Amino acid sequence: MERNNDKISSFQLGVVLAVTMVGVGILTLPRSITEAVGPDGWIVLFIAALIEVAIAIGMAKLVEKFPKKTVVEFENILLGKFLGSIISIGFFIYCITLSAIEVRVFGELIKEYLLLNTPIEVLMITLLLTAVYLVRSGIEPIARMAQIIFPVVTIIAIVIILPVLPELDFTNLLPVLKTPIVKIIKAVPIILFSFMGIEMILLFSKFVLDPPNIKKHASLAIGMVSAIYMFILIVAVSRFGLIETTHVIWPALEIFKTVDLPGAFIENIEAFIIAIWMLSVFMTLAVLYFGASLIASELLKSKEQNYFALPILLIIYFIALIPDNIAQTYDYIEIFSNYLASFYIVILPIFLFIISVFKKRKGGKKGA
Amino acid sequence: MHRLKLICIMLIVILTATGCWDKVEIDKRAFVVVICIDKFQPKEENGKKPIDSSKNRYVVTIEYPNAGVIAGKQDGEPKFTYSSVGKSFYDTLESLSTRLGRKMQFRHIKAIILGEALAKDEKLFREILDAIERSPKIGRKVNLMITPGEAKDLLNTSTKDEPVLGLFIRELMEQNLRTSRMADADLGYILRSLHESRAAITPKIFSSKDEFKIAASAVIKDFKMVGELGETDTRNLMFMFNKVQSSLIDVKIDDILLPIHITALNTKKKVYEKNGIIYTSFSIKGEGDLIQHLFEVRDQPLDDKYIEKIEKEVSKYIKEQIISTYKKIQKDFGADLAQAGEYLRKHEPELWESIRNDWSEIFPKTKVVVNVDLNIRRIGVTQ
Repeated sequence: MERNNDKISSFQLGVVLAVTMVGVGILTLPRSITEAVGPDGWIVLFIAALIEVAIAIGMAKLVEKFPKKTVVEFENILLGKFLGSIISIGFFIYCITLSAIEVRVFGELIKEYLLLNTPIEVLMITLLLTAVYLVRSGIEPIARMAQIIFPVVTIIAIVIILPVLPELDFTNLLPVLKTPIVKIIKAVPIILFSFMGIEMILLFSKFVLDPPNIKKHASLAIGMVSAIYMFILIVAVSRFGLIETTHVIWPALEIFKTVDLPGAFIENIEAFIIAIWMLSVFMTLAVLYFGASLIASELLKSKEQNYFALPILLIIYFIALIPDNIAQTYDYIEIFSNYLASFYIVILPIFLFIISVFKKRKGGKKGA
Repeated sequence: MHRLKLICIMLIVILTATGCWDKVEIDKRAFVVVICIDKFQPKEENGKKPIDSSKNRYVVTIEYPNAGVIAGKQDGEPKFTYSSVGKSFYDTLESLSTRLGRKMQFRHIKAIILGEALAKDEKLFREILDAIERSPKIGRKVNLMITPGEAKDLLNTSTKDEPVLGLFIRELMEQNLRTSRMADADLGYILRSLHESRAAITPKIFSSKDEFKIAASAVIKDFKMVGELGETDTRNLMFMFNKVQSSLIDVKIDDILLPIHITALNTKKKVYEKNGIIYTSFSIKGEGDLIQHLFEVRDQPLDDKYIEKIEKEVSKYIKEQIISTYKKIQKDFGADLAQAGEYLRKHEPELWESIRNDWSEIFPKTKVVVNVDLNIRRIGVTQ
């Protein structure tokens, strides 16, 4: 049974990266940035976006040297089999933990805003089962799905925000640059969590038809995602002011409660927005989930990845149920993004890149 | 293998067929449009307090329209009101739901009305504010109002043309925000302003035999109601907030009463320090129309000098008004309703850092400067 030919263009890869990045991070982003640096959040976001672009280009250069190989394979070449496998297992854990986070926050949010009596377990299982179906189909359907969902989500969200614009008070973004520089630099890692997903380049480059273009499209994806983040951040801060932005758990959603569409026919659009956002979380989950099952299949050298999709569901599900409440969930997320995420997004690519340069110089065409 | 498949299918059927935990048919929903919250005040009978008075702290009254009647498909009562007492806001709602055959829905609330006794009680008021802010269902466009006396009495009044109070309030606010006689202050503003400046105003709602009136405003400082501003003061405050779209101002020149219709107004606020004194300045630019003069008095309105005279008079009037309201806020409440502190935090962060702790003492000593530049653009169709 061959459902797809496992080939995507680099543009599709860019869209996949974009939908992966826009996940649960966007909801808390205005709060976490504002808590850290006050009104200078947009500057931090801008710096973080530039750093992310640099990292993405680095990753793209790295994978260009190893066409038709995932990180699991070329790690073995660069670091040796033992170390490579350990890092790959870590990557697997990273993917499923991040999936679990997405699923958990999704469940919490749906239960809080939409379905009050439905058990959170059912909400999570339903999302996971839907995702399994997509994951088992392979990379190509995922990429096509992303191509459909990304524009729908972003365009609808932005159009709905438009009625708020006249009520924005941009003076809430003042004073500019009064935060100490040290604080700004310290805040940059917080935003890393919102850009998690970019490291999927390392995995999916294997399927890309035109690897030289990955650089361009990955940077484009980051550019678009940071534009969306910037928009949400500025709207949230200038609508709520600094104090309330840090007071609300999910400011990005709370903005929509202040929207009053003319005519009063449509009220409570936050429910509608959650439905839209659900699509975005679904895509994030599907991509990460696919990543996990791909790593598992490469580690165990199986021919197809789709056998691994269902067993992984259970792991994700149980990890997602570990935190007792929403506060603990966000504590775990913080730990996760401080250690695992910074390792796989920043440290590992740089490390691998340096080694690959070094090895190439020493051993001729060994790696390329 | 066959059995395994069967079990799988059964499991899937069980999982999917039990889906709808949250299903509530639309005719079983009560779309609450108004919540009235009062402080529980035990009535003394024969000098003795009722036994359960220590348990009860709130009186919550809800109103929901009879959707069928509103849609014109059925006859009957256009609205239903229920009232209950309880220890906390949600406790009261729970005891209400034991008396309702429908499930209460709060997503369509138009107004939350607080009785004055509750608004003056800091603890209860803070509880209610948090309950409202924390609730995922209550939007930020809701009108939070304070009424003199008991809020639940409002629901006994019924107006002639719109029987449901919640819908009436919404229409009233939409029609009249332009006249700036009532405070343009929704829940979003109130929460924000309380967070930032610890002071805010809310519109007041009054009821008489068969009428409602929304006018003037209540002043909230440090999370309780400390007083009220009259209609003119509320309008003047709206001048300071740059929220006036149109307004009517009467001036008298040569003993002729001239109503001026303000059509556009733009206020710029500035707070600055000079010689150790903090000044709040408002520079106002506006446009207006002359809409009435005196019959058979010729050659005045079409004279540019005369119009300039009116402009000066109106500017002077607005200036005096704003200064008097600013002084009133300082003197009577000491509450930073003008949001001067917030301005300092944004624009003069160094200055703000040095005075933020003493701001409540400094604000009443600040001085106000007003510059008004008003142009009369049109004078109607007669000379």
